[in-house]
Amino acid sequence: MLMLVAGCGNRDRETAVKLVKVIDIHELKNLISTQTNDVVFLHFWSTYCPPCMDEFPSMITLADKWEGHGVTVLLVSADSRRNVVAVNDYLVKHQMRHPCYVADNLNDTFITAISQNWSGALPASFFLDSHGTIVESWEGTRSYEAYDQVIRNLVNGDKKGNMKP
Amino acid sequence: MKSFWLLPLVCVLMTILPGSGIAGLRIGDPIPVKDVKMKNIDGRELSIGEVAGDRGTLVIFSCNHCPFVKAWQGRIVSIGNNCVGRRIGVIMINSSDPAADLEEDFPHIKNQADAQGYMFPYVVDETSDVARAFGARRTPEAFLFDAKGLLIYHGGIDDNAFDADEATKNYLKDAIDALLEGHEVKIKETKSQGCGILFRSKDAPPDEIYR
Repeated sequence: MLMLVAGCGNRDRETAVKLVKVIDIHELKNLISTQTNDVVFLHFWSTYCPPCMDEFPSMITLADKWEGHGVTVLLVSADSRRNVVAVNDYLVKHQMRHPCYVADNLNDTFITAISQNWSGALPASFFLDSHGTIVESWEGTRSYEAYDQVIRNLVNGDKKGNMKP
Repeated sequence: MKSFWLLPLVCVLMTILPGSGIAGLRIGDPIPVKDVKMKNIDGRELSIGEVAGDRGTLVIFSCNHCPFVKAWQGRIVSIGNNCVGRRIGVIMINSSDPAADLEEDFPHIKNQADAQGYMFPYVVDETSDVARAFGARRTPEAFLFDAKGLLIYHGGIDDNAFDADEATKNYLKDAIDALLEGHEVKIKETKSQGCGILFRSKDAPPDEIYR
């Protein structure tokens, strides 16, 4: 099992994230299919995308908040693989301490494998329940509360309200 | 989590496009809103119908700020300019709200066209309603129509935004070649990464993929 939001603790807050990994669609599919957490929040963004960056602090807060509560937060950047260092620098600047990914060529094959209904526009968010079913998704930005509410609903639905961080 | 990858097949019929309340164009659909006038960089008011070529029409939704547009820019210009010489009408449409990004205002639009050597019109969709009518959602996003004005290709430029040399599938170019050679387009629809169109506020977002 891959606990992508496995805790490092606040002591690592200042530690540079060096876990940016280039990932292809097969690896991402495998990563998701091997999750045992009840909820997966899959979010595509890019340092090239100003709206994505505007809401990225929310992604960090969500990853922190739901860590250890049965939620896997997968943040996948659509940056060029040549831009991995810049992605890493951006994450460090924002004190991100969870592993993140850079999609290896987010092309038609990659996008379609995620969802036939995703146009490829960024940002894009997908919420999967314990069965691996996409139960909510959208393109574009939302408020922190909107993201958090979907995750909360999924967690509560799966765990009958027992997990409310 | 195994079922995740089967879900798109189930959900494909559930699509309603962002902010429009209508489904997007499907292969075989006619050019929508082709008589709507839009301001071109030269100050003229142009409609898609006026730009349409006798062998086909290429409509590209684009913008100025988007890094993915910039990554594909050279290929888009090359394809667009080549179409002009082959009696395929080309029009690039900017539907993004300059209030959301100043780079989308008219001076930037004009500057981009001049700097990149566009030989085709680059027009302003002042309400974003043309994008809504097409079901366009991102930039860049291409729609290719045949001589009858029916959609024969919709999607991206090719399969590698950041490295033209590593692109293995030149979707748009291949579709244009098929059109000119009188063949059926093999790959009719593709997806590609892009910036969400900065729709004017009337009814967008939400940009829900499923409802």
